[in-house]
Amino acid sequence: MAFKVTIGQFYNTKSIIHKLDPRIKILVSFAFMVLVFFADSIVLNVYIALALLALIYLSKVPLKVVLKAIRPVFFFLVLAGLMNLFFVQGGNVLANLGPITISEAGLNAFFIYTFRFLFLVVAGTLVALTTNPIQLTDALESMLSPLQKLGLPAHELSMMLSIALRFIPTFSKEAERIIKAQSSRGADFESGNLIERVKLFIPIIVPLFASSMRHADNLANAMDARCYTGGEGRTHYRELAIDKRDITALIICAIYLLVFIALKIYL
Amino acid sequence: MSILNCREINFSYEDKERVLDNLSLSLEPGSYTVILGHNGSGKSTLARHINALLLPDSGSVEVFGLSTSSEDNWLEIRRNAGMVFQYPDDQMVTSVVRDDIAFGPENLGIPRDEIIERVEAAIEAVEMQDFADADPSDLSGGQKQRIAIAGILAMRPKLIIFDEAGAMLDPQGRQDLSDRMKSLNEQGYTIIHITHFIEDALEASRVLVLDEGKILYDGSPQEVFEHSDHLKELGLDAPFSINLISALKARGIDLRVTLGQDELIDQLVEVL
Repeated sequence: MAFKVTIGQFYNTKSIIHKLDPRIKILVSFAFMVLVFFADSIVLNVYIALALLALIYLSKVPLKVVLKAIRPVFFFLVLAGLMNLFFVQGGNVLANLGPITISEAGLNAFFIYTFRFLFLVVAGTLVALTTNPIQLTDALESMLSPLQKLGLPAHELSMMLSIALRFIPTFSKEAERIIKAQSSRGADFESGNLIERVKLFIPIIVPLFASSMRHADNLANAMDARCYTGGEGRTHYRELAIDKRDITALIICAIYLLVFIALKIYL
Repeated sequence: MSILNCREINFSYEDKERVLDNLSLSLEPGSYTVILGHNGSGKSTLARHINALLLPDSGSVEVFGLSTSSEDNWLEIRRNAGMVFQYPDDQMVTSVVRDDIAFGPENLGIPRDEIIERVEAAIEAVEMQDFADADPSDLSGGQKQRIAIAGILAMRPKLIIFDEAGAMLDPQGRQDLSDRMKSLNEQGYTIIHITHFIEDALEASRVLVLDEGKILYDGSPQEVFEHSDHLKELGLDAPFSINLISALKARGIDLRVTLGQDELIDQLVEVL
């Protein structure tokens, strides 16, 4: 039994998408996610899907990797889709299966909501796949820094996120080790009903929690020893700079948005 | 002038037994000192006093002439006295090797151009050029410790403290680390190595044995190893090869320090 880690799963192909400024990627992906909610016709959804496919192509990330990254939410996707299909009523009745009625509106909702959710997940996944975690946290710090004057600890937040991402592989390795250790003493993680299975996780969670405390303590010492005193007076090794490529990307996005609006109004 | 001056320091962790007991110590610049002790002897606690991670309950610690009792001195002390810790994983701050090495200089507010220069120099110094853009979690323990050393070197310290830095490594990794310390010392860095492996002490210019927060022995490796029976009682048991090498060294026969029996035999054959 292994823990699959999908957060912060950077896949470096050195494509033009990878080289874009992370702030642009984050902003555009947020704008795109909002746009997804305005796509209420088949044409608009196809338009959205085309953009995502183009981005996947440009990022040179194999489709298989993208699909693997969204697999954990697949179950939820299907479940939400079926809920819509069965419980949204309206328009002509298309099928009658005993107590369940599938209506035209239900079918419509099934397509719209399932794909809408899929688009959101793919858009987010693309940012994670094409941006290394350090760039992601640097971008966050840079974007939040105007709020620093209002008392928001922008540097501290991004440092926390960066450390959290850094420790994901450490903890997943450790969880695996604890599971093996407990299994070797006869713990059985594979059988039993749901409640029994949840209970079985206690002997994993407790040592994992204890070790995370130890890691935190050691890390704090190591950071102190390397003169960490917070964000003030700190310089940056990585510099974020908007270049021509980023401007071009923004222009393309703006054109994309205008076409979207036109399609929305005239169709 | 000594770079470290501990005067009669006492320390205990919250109402427990005394960990450091009236300990005094001074170190010369450019020295290579090994502090030996079993678990609980207070050696790591002592190390943490040197870079102001811990402060003595009484007595004083001066590093490069700066007292650790004043918080204003801490940054200057820590910048000059870098520390490599026991757990390789717990001293990596970011998920790219280069960025991790840059962490110290970033904290010190060094201009970006100079950070880039320092990072490259530090990567080269620990021969990790091939892994400069790797994720530290994909590296071996020994490689992670090399990155940790690079992270310290990038701060341009004068003194490097190794706090059980080899304890999580295999014998080969420990040997490499020890060789690295020796070469750093030859480049002019003052080295303090805290360890419970007696064989680490052979290359040192000075060995201190710590027990119950007190300095028990202080001298050259040969002087200290004369008490090997007592060291054994303290749980500091040297492997046979080390005992033999140090005994021969005392009689003027210089062998290269090795833990491998085959290599030792080869060397002996050559001498004979």
